[in-house]
Amino acid sequence: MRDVVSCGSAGEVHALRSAALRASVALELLGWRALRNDLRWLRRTAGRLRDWDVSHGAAAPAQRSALVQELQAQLHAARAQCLPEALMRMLQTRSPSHHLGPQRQLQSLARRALGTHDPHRLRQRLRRLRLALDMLGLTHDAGAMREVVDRLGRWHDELQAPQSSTLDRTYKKARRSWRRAAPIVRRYAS
Amino acid sequence: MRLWIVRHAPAVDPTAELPDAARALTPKGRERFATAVRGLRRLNARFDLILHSPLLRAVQTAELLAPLGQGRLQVAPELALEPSEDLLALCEGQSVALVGHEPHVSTTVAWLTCGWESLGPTGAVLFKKGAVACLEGELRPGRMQLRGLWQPGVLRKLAR
Repeated sequence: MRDVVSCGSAGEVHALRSAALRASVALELLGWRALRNDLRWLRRTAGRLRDWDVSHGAAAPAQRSALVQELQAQLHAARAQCLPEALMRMLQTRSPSHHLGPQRQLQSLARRALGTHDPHRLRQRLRRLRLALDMLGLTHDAGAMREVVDRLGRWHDELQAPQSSTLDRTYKKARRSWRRAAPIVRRYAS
Repeated sequence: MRLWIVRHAPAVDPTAELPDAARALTPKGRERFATAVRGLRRLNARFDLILHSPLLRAVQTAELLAPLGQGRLQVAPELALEPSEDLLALCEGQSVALVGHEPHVSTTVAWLTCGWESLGPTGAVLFKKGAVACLEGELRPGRMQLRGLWQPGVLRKLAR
């Protein structure tokens, strides 16, 4: 995580955000609250650069370069530098005594996913649920989540594109995926 | 503002194989500090923000304090060092908990209440593991007042 952003490429930023999200889900499954805010801070910091890339593409390289420098400065700050080791130590320790186990965390993640009608929030919450399922070895159900997350993502991207000709088709695919995945989510939520 | 200075709960002893930063709380230390947190609750201790050093024993201690917070825990490497203006700059809100280590926790109390930068070899503030001090006032060196200093045994008694 510390060295992952050298030139600020979109791939590096994605890798950083993905690693931070995985670590956050792992902490959640283990019942830890500590360090999750720090990981959220890291994702949001990198997310500003990602949002720029989505909105501007290759345009305005000078402004992008300034954002990259800002991100690198944040990543070199003491708070980000200490995170990887602190995380590793936390992930190796026993869960806190109040932790009810990963199944209850899965239930919580599934209920949060069912608790929104906003497609963007649904996608974010399903992504967390998918990661948790993957970490627990529930790969079949994780696959169903991956499909709906991908299709919601494509529909979301098409919504941003002016005069998209495939918007309706993308929406229908996303909806079909959700219909297949919803019973799985409800099962974990119950 | 209120500042709650917390020394981490009892941790395993250092060994040649175990790096200092990786020393976890002992099971008894965890259990006793969890009881002490109930004592803090009876003192109406509530935090807008909990800052903690990145060393494992401080992270675990902060985790035990989390029920008294608003869900905002933040790692602060400054808490593994001598107190500084950089640390003060992180303290946002009306009531902030700082979870750290000796000798820095007692130095922080001396610095913020009296403006001292060092306690000398004997130390003027006794901070057992799991002890908590509460300071109140303007967040500047020499401008805060010590409102209370509770050793862990007292906090556990308050919890009953």
